[in-house]
Amino acid sequence: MIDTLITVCLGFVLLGMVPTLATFAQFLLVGLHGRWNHYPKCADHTPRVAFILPAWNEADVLGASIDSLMGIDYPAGAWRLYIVDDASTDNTPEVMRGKMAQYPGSVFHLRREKGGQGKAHTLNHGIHEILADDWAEAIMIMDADVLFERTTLRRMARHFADPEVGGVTAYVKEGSEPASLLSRFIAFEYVTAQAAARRAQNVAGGIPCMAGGAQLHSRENLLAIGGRIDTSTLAEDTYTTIKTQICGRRALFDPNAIVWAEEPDSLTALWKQRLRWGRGNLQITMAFRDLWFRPSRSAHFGNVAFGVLWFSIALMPVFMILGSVGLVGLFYLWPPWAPLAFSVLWSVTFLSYLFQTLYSFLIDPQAARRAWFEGLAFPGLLSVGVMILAVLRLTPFTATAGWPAPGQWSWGEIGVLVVLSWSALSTLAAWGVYRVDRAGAPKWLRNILLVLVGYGPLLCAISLGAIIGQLRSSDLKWDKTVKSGKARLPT
Amino acid sequence: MTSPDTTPKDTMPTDTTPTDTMPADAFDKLQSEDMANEVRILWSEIGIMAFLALLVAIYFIVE
Repeated sequence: MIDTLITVCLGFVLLGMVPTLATFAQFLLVGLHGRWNHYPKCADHTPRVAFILPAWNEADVLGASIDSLMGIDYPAGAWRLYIVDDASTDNTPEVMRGKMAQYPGSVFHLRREKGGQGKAHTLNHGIHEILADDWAEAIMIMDADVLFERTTLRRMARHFADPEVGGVTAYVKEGSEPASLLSRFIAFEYVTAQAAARRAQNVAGGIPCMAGGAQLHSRENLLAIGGRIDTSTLAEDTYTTIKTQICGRRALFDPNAIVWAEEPDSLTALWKQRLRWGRGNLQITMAFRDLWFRPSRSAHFGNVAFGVLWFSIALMPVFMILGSVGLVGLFYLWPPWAPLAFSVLWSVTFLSYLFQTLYSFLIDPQAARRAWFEGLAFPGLLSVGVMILAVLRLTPFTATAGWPAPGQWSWGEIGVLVVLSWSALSTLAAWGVYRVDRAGAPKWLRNILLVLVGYGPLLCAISLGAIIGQLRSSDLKWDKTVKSGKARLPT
Repeated sequence: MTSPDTTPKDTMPTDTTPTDTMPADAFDKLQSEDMANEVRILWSEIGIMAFLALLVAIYFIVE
């Protein structure tokens, strides 16, 4: 019986390493994008593009995003902007009318009288109008706060010279000015989750999500996936991306096509946004349950590596908790193995952290100059401390050479238990930081706690919240992230 | 053409035919800049891996 439990604990420790190893393996593929990319198949291809900008009470951000579009380097007359006013109740219509007068002949105004149902519904209204005539050869789905750099559309559209390509997404960068600690954390997160991870996914042959802030589809692709955006999940961009690839076209990420966006500046707003994303991804997991680990003959999409990566991220908190349970279980069942298992698990995590952080700095040096501290503090300074304990094989919280014997309930033993279960405890602590922020604590206190506990554990806590929300089938409501117009294009 | 919950378009843009494409050398420059960036990232990865391999080797030697 004990042997079985020990084996189970060792298995849990190995499972606890899955997210670290999966993301580490993904990072190893990033550099190969230098050899295996889509650029050789590109040409100066400029299809007629219809931008769809869904706007529900976006008066604060709409003007700047329209202005950024007017500066793009793309043939005159080859693009149009359709603003779908989702029955806004602020002065969005006035801002829109002002911009239409400023840029006559470039902007369509579509208005829904019943709004607030969600982005997918708003997009569908615009798509219905655009596909009703044959002018548009490509459709750009964007967010109201997204700012386009001058050559972004040109860079994205060039991939459509290859008829196999159905959709292209850009690198969405956090562009709030002035940048807060939280926005710099997000800026670094986007280097890892987009600039790095999506390069690797290009290499691997399939990407799970084209960012909804800048998602360019060929007309043929949009028609092939049903001519509308799915409204049954909270992650419409991921659904569209997966559907594109299932229908036989490629979805690509162009890391050099850049747009800038404003992201949440409070943990409460971030939690709300990411909970929606997390629950949306779990809905996607169910919606495409026949896809995972079952690759098609024509594409890598859905293969085993893709499935491992998808589930290691979607279920990351589960893996973290299992890892902690495994370490604590070993400490009580087979004490000599606990230090070794702890050392291996956290040393691998440390190596992965060093590699991903340093490499991310080099992948996007501009973001690194802005968010180098947040990159280093991403897992939380306390977690970095645990990693150093593991690497240097220090005996945590004890002055003796060996670990305290289990079952004595000394302070040393409690310290050991805290360290062994830190990957689970950090998730709980991150939830505590969110609650402190939500209770109205001053920003300086929230920032100190966030740096100590870490942004990574916060994302893990939100994922856990999403899993619990899905299991409890709690209310599913599309909830917009409020933007204030802080994003700026770099000068 | 419009669904029941909508009002028609306020304005119709002037239909124009796209004529100007980017000069060939400008597009080539864009392409080569982007490809050079990807190659830089490949070499960065090799550099970081070499650096980390050195650190790991030193760690085991000191141990």
